[in-house]
Amino acid sequence: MDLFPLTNSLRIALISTFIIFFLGIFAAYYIAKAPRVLKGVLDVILTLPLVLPPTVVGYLLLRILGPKRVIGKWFLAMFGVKLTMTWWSAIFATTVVIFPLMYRTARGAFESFDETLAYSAQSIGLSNTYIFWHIRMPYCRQGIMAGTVLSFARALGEYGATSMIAGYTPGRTATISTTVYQLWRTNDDAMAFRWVLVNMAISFVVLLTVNMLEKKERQRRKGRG
Amino acid sequence: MALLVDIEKTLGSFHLQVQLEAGDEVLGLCGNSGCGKSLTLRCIAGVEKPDRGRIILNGVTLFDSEKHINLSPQKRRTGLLFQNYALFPNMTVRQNIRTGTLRNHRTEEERNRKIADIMENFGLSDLAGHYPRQLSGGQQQRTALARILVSEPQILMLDEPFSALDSELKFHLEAEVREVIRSFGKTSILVSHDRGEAYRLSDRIAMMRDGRTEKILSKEEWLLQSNSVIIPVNVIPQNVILVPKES
Repeated sequence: MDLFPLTNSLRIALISTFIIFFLGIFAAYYIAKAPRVLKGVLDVILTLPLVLPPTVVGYLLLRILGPKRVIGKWFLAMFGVKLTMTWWSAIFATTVVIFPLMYRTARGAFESFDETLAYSAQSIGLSNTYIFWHIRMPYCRQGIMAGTVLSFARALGEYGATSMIAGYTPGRTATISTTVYQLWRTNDDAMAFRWVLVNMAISFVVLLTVNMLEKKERQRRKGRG
Repeated sequence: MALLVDIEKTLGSFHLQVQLEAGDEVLGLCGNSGCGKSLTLRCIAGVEKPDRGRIILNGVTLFDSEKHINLSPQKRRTGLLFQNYALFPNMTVRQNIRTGTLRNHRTEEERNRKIADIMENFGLSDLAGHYPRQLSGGQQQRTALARILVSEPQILMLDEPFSALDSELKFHLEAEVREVIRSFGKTSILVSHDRGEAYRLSDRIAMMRDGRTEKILSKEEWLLQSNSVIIPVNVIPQNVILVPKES
């Protein structure tokens, strides 16, 4: 069994989760504080990838990153690099698709934060950076971790946008999900089933982790009264 | 005057209009809930921004809408004790208090000495490794006060300091808080909806109604005006004597 799809899926999921961790938290932190109207508009725009079919996301990405489109063309001219049909092209797809998951869970966590903690920290002279990393983030830790794990799981299973922007090339751009589709299409049912099992096992572990984190969070809240 | 506050702020249909002056004394800010007492403290601390006016503390302008001065809460050196004490739940008692030393004390040695001193003073030494959720209400309050005082504020503001406590504990802790305020020695503001509490702890009292402060009165004047009488409540059996009825 060639394990390339597994390692490729894992590296794509890990990198996009890493990016989304900072991007999602950054967006959540600033949008949670934004005026109501702006918040409403940004919220809709940033959540859109969650409800759009992944093929639509893939289509839109190709419209921007394709070798004949604005950014894709510029990149090709400047660096001689094509942004589509490489293994890392899938990172664009997964990043956009999982962004709303991280953003929404992080925002939920930030909104449950007791602002008086930040106020009292400010008045005893702690900097806003200190407050963010030492008080706000630990307080929201469980929610943010759950969001991260959920985003990772979703990135691992992304199919639609990935297949459009990175395609399926065995040993180069194949991921678990595109491999399953390809194997099923070519009637290699036994092999497809193996990959299905691999995917299910990973998702099982991930969801178990999310549930445990959420349970811990609930207990912590209860404990605080 | 150590503290001068003359501010206005509108929040929806609520209009706050506060005028206060206080020296090195305890000023009670008294009124029903929702009358703007806590909002006033937040404006002084700088976590809420008034629409107009000015706030001056010990000669330093903290806020002046005309001169476009609005110091950050970090630079104001105000100590604000929140109703829920606002202890950081992820930190132990010692770590909580340590955060109060980060602004003023440069070396770790100096910090450790400050922390040890104040924990000793507040009877917290044995609780150093406890988390806030493991503390009683009174211990939480002491930790929060210690954290504020170690940050060396220019003013101490207490927002309903006893509202989170059982009534039995209140009298006991009131004496503790009175001692803390007295040894602090600078301006203190005590926000309370309990007239008795305000009377016992303050030197002068300002009443607030619907977002407006009334004239500041000495507590004796205030007592006369408020139509209340003092009733001693600490009557214990040993102090009771029996006298024969007049025939």
